[in-house]
Amino acid sequence: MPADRDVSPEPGTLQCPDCHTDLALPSGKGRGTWRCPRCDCQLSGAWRLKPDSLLALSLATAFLWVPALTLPLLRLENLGLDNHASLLGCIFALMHGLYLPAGLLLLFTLLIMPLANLVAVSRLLWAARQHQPVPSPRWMWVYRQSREWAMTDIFLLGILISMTKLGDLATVTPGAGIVCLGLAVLLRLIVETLAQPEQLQRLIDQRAGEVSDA
Amino acid sequence: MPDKPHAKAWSLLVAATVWLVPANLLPIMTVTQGGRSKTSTIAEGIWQLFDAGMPGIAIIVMVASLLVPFFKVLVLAVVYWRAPTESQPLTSTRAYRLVYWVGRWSMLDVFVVALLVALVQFGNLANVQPEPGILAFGIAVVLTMLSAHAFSPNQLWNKDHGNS
Repeated sequence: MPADRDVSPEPGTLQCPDCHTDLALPSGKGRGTWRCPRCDCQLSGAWRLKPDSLLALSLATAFLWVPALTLPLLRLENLGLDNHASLLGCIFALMHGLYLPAGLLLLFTLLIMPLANLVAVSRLLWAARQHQPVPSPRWMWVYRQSREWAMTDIFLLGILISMTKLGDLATVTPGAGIVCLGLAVLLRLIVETLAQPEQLQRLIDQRAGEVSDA
Repeated sequence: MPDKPHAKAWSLLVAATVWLVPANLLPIMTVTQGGRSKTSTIAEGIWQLFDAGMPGIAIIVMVASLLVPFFKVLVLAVVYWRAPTESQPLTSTRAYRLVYWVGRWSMLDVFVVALLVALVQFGNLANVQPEPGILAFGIAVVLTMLSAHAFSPNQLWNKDHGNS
């Protein structure tokens, strides 16, 4: 979702990124999502944001990424011949001739954006953990964009559909890459759900403010 | 007529609509099996899934690749058109948020084709080749996403229509 303004106009208040209504920050630490009463924009998630736990999940995702990219996702056997494809193999399968733009689109959505998402959220969570301000607003911009453009979750559904489609053509065996990719996607979705951009930004500002006040 | 603040969103949406035509009319891939080749468009691919007794998968692909792109273009066009004089900004904002997140799932078919092309390479025995339709479809999906991105829900709430 594009968020063109995200600064608090006054201390203790917040401007809704969608309708720009000034809202008082909730005083309690009660559970449940906080939404803008005017436009229903979600301003914080249902759970408290815990940078340490989410950073650990991001680190686990990073470790899963290398095997998820390089190990075979599926293995195909047909009349004694066999072939396999990794995530990188799929990206480069269309990277030639007329289909180069489609290949670049795959490179962007399946490799560059998921990695950008991982790096950006880790940097933001690290800043929150260390009670430091984020050096550049670009980190939050990258995090917001990558939540939309990283499409490994959709690719995972694509793998399941391909397995069903190939059932008639050959024997399909899932490879180790699909397990790593599935876990990496699951962890990414957990981190994204718990680290809502508005909530994360507020936490970083609040913690950085506490340090500068002290 | 579209006013200036929405010109970029409108332009991208029109471009996406234009690309949706070849995306749906041109074949997206050719499957060669035992020396016989068969090209299929998005709609034909869905029909083949129904025919092969896989209605669940067929419905998922139909929703993601056929219904969502058209639904998204339609909803965005209505939201952009109504934005300057919007009387129900909450409804439009909710519709915009829905298509904003649903639209990316249309990339499903592009990923399926890429995976099949990478995996099914057994020479004349069996292989899958991409066709221009998949390129047009990928471009159409990206353009609708960029169009939605060029618009901000704030533009629905700019003017006081007595809904706050």
